[in-house]
Order: sequence, then structure tokens, then C-alpha cells
Amino acid sequence: MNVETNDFHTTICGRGVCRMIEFAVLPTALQAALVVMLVLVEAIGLYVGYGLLEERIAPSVLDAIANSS
Amino acid sequence: MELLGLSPELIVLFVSFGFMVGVFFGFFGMGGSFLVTPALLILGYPAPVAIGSSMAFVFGTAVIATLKHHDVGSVDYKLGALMFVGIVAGIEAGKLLVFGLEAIGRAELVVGVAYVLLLGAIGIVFTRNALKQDADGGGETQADDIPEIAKKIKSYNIPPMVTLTDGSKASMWTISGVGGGVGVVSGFLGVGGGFIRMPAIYYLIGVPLAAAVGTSLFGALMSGAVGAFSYGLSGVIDIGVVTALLVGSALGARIGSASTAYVDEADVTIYFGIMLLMASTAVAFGELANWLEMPIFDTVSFVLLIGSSLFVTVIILYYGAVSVREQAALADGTPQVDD
Repeated sequence: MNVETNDFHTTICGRGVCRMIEFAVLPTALQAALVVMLVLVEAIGLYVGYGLLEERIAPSVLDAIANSS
Repeated sequence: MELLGLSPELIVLFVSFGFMVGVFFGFFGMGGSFLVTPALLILGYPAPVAIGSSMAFVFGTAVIATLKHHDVGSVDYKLGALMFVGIVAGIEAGKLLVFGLEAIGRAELVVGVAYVLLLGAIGIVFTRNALKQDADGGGETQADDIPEIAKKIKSYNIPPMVTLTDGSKASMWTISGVGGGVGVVSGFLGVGGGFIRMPAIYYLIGVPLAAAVGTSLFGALMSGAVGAFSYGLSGVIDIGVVTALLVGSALGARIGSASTAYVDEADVTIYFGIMLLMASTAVAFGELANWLEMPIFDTVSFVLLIGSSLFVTVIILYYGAVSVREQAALADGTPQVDD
């Protein structure tokens, strides 16, 4: 473990703004990789989810805009 | 009550801001990430947290944008992969700079000033180009065109040379230089760097424009992943902020990219340029608030940044709605009066 990095981490979190996923038993590198994986899963989920939503409601939204005065 | 470690007000703020950033990203192909770090700085997040969270947000947004460009086959994955080493080295250098400045208590100030200059410069370029386009009556660039400067750079065969997906050759030195240079900016400012990488890929490596946009987004994906991992090692990513921003930006990006089918970019580019100039002013006010210890400047700064982003988002949506109505009226054969 990098002492300097942990000191910095403590300083930042001490200001009450750090909310990275904390798995104390996991190595720092694995925690960082988990954060990247989580963002990746979120992004793909949002892409697919909003894609399905777009397919379902986009035509009616466009119709509503076209027919509004 | 808190969700994702954020109060309901902050969640609404980040989702809404993410939506606006997503609209810009979807519509202009850039303009997202370089508003997020300043916003977090203005809200009082320390520079490493603002930059680290912004890098994670860049990664998520770039994944979404790359998936869209992948569908139309405009991503040169080989070139993106070749830039990887330069990107990693550049981001590490940028991050070391941020942490070095933080250690001497100057990170917020230096990053803030860099943003004032960067946003101001890009804002001037956009506004000037928009005014010039108005005066010239426009002028389209063909997707397969390669600029003269790129042809000249390509004529210098400095080994090792690599063959790109389109069959052309480029020096590994140019590719690594572009990756490394943009990586430093990404790591230092927490941005995807598309506003530099895309022109660099087009002008320096000589990739056709359509592929340059897609490949630049793939580069942003790698920058974001490497940057998020690197800052994640130091535990400075606020996953609640990133998630709230992504929820808004994923929706905004879809609406922004759909709007390109209805809105002429030239009509709104000048507003985007003005918004960047206002964002630059907003960050300057934020710095003044710290320097003069006058919290009122923080409020001015925040209102300027959010207000200008909201204004341009409304302009894009308004032009889009007008265009949808006009097209529907034309399809119905109803005469339409321009306003």
C-alpha cells in the first residue's frame, strides 16, 4: 500500500466529500477497478434502458410536438 | 434523507446538469466534461475529487457515445489502441501535476485559472467561427477530406510507421504524441479532451473527419477509464456524483444527437461559444470568491455556469421543436410562416 496515497485519501475524505466505494478488505487497485466496472455497467445499462424508452415513447413525443400549436 | 450520499437537492442539480451536458455532447460531439470539473470546483469539491469524478463521468459518457458511433462503423479501434500508451503516460503526468499542486495547496487555483483560459479560448474560437460562418454563408467539409497539413505530416516517414484501418500510414511518434499530449490535458483538467483530440487526429494524423470523431470518442473512453482508475487508486471519485450526472447525461445525449437531425448546428454554435465564455467568467468569479473571500462571487459564478448551460439547452430544444413542427406542417402540405 502507498502511504502517501492513503494520507491523501484521508485528507480528502476528511472534508466529507469522498464517497468512493469502500471495501476495506480489498486492495486499492481492485477498489479502483470496481469503480471503473461500476461506471461501465451503469453506462451500458443507461444506454440500453434509454434506448428502449426512446423506441417506445419517441414517436408519440414527436407527434405531440408536431401537433402542438 | 440521502441517496447515493447526496441530498435530494444535489441529486436534482446533478441529474439536471448532467442532462444539459449530455445535450451538448450529443449535439456538438463535445462540450460535456469541461463543464463538469468547473461546476464541482464551484460547489466546493477539492480539485482532485472534482477531476477524478469528472474523469469517471467522461468514461461513462464516452462509453455511451462510442456505442452509438460503433453502430455506424465510424471508430478506428486500431488507431485508438495505438494511442493507448501515450494516453496512459499523459494522464499519469497530468495527475502527478494535480497532486503535486495539491500538496502545496495550489491545485484549485491553478486548475481554476487553466479552466478560465481554456474555456475562454475555446469560447472565442467557437464564437468567431460562428460569426465567420454567418458572414461567409457557411461551407461544408466533406467527410473523406484530409487537410493539407495532415498530408504534409504524413509525407515525413519517421519509423516505426503503422498502417491504419483506412489503409493509410502514420508514424507511431505522431500517434503517441497526440495520445500523450491530450492525456496530459485530460489528467490535469479531468476532461475527455475531445475538443483537442478530434482536431489532432484529423489535422496531425490525417484520419477522415467522420472516423476522427468516432475514434476521438473511443480515445475519450480510454482516457476516462485510465483516469478514473488512476484517480480511483487515490480514493477521490465520488460515485454518487458520477451516477447522478450519468443518469441525466445519458438521456440528454440521446435528445441532443436526435436534435442534430432537426437543428442546423450553425444556428446554435454562437450560443455555445457565448456559453463557454460565460463559463470561463463563472470560473473566474469562483476564483475571485476564494481569493477575496467574498461568497457572493461563488453565487454569481454558480448562477452564470448553470444559467448559461440551461439557456443553450433550451435554445437547442426550442429550435428542435420548431423544426419538428415545420417538417410536420410541410408533410401535411400546410403553409408555414417563419418566425
